[in-house]
Amino acid sequence: MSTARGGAARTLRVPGRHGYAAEFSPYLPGRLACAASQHYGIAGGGTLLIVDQIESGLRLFRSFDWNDGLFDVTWSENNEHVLVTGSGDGSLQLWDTAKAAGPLQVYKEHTQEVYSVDWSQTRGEQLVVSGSWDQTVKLWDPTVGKSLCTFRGHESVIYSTIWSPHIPGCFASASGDQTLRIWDAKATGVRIVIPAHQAEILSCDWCKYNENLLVTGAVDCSLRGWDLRNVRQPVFELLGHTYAIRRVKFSPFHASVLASCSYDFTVRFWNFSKPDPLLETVEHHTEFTCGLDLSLQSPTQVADCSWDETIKIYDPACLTVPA
Amino acid sequence: MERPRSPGPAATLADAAPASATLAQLLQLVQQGRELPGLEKRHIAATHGEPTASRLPRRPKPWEGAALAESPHPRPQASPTLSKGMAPAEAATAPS
Repeated sequence: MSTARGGAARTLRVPGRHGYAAEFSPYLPGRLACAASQHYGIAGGGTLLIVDQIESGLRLFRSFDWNDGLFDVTWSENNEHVLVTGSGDGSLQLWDTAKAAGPLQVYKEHTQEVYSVDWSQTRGEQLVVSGSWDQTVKLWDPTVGKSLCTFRGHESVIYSTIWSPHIPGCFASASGDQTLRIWDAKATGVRIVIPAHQAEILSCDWCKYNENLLVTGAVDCSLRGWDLRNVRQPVFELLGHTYAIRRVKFSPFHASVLASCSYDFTVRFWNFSKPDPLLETVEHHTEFTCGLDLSLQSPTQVADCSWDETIKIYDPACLTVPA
Repeated sequence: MERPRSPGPAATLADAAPASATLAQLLQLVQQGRELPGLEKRHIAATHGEPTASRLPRRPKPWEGAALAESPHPRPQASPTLSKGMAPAEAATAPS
């Protein structure tokens, strides 16, 4: 284990905006979207920030305001201009980065905060899944004005909904009811319920190189790996965070590498196949760190955003050497 | 913590730097039903415009490339189906 600063992080200050989610564009290297909220998301409006990496640092390309806080963002997989956000007022918004004004569309069906949105990752599907504090998951075709389907079953707020990168129509959800659930969009029902933690689960993600492997991050400060072929116990547990884990993501490039950010202000990098799995702890924020993404273009590049009103892009030391 | 019903340890509020003090003050104002400083009330509505046409082809994901090229990454198992994935295994082990 090493405690190191991400070398020469490029930083954008966004005064009065508290970052909730950061997502790299799947099309344009160095373009980043950040969903942010005024007043820590407690009250006030939200802002979608589109940020470009330039030689001298980070430059704000465009920003879009919304009436309520924005908690998550996802890029379209079939149009480089398009994104979807989830908001505190229960709506989803469709945005176009090539236009100064927006949103193009608003989809209001959830009755409470929309905390997660994700655009499908498998080819041949262009669907968005949303998770809400109203305890439902909804499936959307952004070209259609209303949801295609509503999934019920979670017994508390939903914090995270993520499509499988391998199995068409399959997504995972994580909830305050302490379960991770695997759904089949075509069957409109839950397929697997995993009591993954004895605490609220704030985040989950799929391994990009093993279709059966997921990770969960929870308020109990632990990350746990789950093999869908046998969910009686986790296949790994990663300990080190000192407060709730807000978001976890698998590496797009390495099968056993993942990153997590936390209410302990840190971002940590892990390789669960190693006896000493904690690769690096990055301590460059001074508040809750809620947004995190790993670049799809560069194997070493990471972005995060925090309630300290900054967005950062950096290359942590542990990713610049073979994991 | 973010909103009245939200996860995250309350202890961090007291521990943290000045920004958290602001958060604590903010929560106090909300609880007292008082007006928040600099609150922006907006009335934004959908433009109902059409998205700008895409000009770029979809890029393959890094893991899609791994299935084609020779690489150190483990390849995804063949014919992914959820039902197959649900079959219980004798021993669940982490991939290396």
